[in-house]
Amino acid sequence: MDIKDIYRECHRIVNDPVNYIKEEKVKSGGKYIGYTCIFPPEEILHAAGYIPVRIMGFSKKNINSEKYITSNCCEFARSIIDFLSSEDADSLDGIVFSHCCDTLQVTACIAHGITDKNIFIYNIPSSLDSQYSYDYIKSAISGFKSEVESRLNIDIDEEMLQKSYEIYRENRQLLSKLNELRRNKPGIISGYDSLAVTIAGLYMAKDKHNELLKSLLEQLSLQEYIQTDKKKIIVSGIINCNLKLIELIEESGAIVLSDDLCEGARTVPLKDSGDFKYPDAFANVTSNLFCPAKNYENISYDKVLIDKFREADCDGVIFIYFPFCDPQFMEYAYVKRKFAEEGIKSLLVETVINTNNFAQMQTRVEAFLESLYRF
Amino acid sequence: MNDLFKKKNNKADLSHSTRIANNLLLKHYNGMNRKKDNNQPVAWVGVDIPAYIFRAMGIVPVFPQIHAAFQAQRKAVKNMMNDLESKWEIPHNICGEVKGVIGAVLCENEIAFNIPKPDILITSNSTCGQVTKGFKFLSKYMGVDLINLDFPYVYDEINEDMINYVSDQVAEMMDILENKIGHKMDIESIHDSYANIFTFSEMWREICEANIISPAPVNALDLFMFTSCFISMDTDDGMLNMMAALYNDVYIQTERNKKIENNEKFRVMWHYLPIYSKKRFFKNLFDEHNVSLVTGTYLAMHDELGSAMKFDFKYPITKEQIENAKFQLKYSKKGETIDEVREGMIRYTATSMLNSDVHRGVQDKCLKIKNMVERYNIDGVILHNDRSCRPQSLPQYEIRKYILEELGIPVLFFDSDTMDERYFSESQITTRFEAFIEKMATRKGI
Repeated sequence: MDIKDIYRECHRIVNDPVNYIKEEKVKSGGKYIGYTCIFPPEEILHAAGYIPVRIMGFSKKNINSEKYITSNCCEFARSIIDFLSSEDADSLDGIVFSHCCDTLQVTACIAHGITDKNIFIYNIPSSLDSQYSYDYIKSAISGFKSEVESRLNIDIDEEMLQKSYEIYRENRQLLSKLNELRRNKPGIISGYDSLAVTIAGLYMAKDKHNELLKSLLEQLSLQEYIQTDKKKIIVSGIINCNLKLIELIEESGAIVLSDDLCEGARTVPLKDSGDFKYPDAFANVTSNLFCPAKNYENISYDKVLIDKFREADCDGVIFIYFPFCDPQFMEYAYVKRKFAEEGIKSLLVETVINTNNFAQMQTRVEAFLESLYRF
Repeated sequence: MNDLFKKKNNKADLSHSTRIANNLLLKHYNGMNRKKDNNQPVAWVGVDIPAYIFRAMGIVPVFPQIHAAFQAQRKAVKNMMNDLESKWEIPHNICGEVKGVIGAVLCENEIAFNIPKPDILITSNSTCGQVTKGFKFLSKYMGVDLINLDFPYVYDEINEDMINYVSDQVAEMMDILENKIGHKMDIESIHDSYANIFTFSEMWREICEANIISPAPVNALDLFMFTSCFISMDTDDGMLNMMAALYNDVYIQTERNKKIENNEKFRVMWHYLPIYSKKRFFKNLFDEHNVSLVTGTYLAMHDELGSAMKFDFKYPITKEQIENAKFQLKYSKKGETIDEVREGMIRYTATSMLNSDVHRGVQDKCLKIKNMVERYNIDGVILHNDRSCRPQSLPQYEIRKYILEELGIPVLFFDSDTMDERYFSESQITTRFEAFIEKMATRKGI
């Protein structure tokens, strides 16, 4: 595939992931299991013969969540419930909830009343880098593997796990290279396209995504590079596959050079997880993933974000949050203050899933970018 | 007729025990600053972490969430909420209690009591993740060290891995605190703390269970108010005296109720936190319709504390009875070495905190309500959907469905906020309450 075809295919997948999964099921007869955030060890599901796919706000037609969960709930959790209660969920053989935040833990608890599919819980701690959490994460991984084996009636041996681990590790390394390229050659790939490539990987079989990434990186390395003078933006939060938000920022005259998004760069651990060793290598992945919903002793949201900002030599930061996202909002008050102390301009955008109402947002983004160009 | 039986109202007059509680609170909060001035370390502590640990170490525990509950009863809380939302961009839908905690620091002119500044902050997520984030904010903003105890969420059952993970953290916290105070914790103080907490929780259990009989002798809304005291001061000797006074007040009414006409039409329970600033409104509503609020899930803390021994307190509870109960508990621990007592304390703390109702799945919450409905002969359940509390409010539809379909009793469901009365509408609640009464009446055939 040439570069344009790669982008076209990735946008097609991101625009309708459920349709893509359905197509692939027909083509390859693959079995799919959904998962809800960055933490579940996908390798274990992969080793069990399933293709793990990320559940986000796919469902555009249903509003069943109002039946199951009260209205003071974040958009993301509601979209998961809408999806699970729709026919679209038939394409999956099970769902994995990872312990993420108060809202998702409740969603996991009520999921049994919404769907009769297999529900797995990857019950990791809320603190991920404390002295005691590493051993607890290892026990959570072992517990998760045993549950997968017994509920799906399969034995997963170390060889299968190692094979899956290597495929996923390579995927993380390739994504890191793509992010590095974005930073080092601003504009060589737009934020809109690079995020489509990253998000498409959440729905594709990982070996296939690896091949796509290798081809893309090779073609980008041969491409002539023209320096851009556009303002460079980092976005943080969750866009729930809604790349129109990124498109809007870039059409307003900036480039989204780096991200700290739940479905973007946050899927890559801050450190490489090392060679295969079970369960340590998987625990290394989990404990090195950064999510503001979690607590860390050695890193913090403000530090991670400012480091990413500096690394990419950005000009401004845009926070994209859903209403009722408590963990991010609780961190936001302090993070915003830290950015202001460092003289970094920021914009908070509260949005909802699958919105097409961009008029107000566009005005705000344009005003924000104008302030960056002025100073 | 004996004076005891002259009063017609079937609810206990708790003015005596309330006065003691208020004086105790005032003394408690004033005393904190004196202790701080005398170089006793001050810890700001999450509401789920028991006070007895700190008493055994000579550390002054301050529970800013409880302080927030006192703030909620003051009109000034509205200004505080507005300030946090407009100046700090903390959204309106973030937990009101956490906003109260942060507001006590960021909006000092709005504080209810003059609480001393912390030397250390200690929190856990055994209630929710927002509290931890609130304490983290304070730690960074105030530049004070934070100990964060991480409790795995109990989706199903508590397992040994969970207990060990949490116990390790509690032990580490004790090491850090012992380093801070410069000596090991005192075994005699641990014994005293244990004895007090169990004596206190036993009295509390008996007070709550007095409402099993009809007409219920005490309005549970009054009992909610006492919980604020005993979280802050569960091992304080003054607390035991206050609890004895409360027990005696409730006992007197229990005896009265045996002699008066039973006009109690409906017995209801409250799931989760009350709305502190609307106590008078609800009391009037209940009285007007001869409804007894007999219990609430938030009151059943004695279940989580799990006392090692049962006492049978006799009216009137005297100092001798209290001392006797404490002696029995202390005696049961006497043969243990300091390491055994310390180990026992760590494991007890870990297990009782893992058992926190908030930190458990929906099924567990439903079972707890079922037990209370059966035990207290409940006609209807009030589900307060505290909009800013995610762990408690989000599963309320499931809980409602369970109560309606499995228990077959009516539910009053309404949105509000424990702290923030901007989300409360008296007229809407009144209308829904009247419909709730109708449903209970139809079910009972009256």
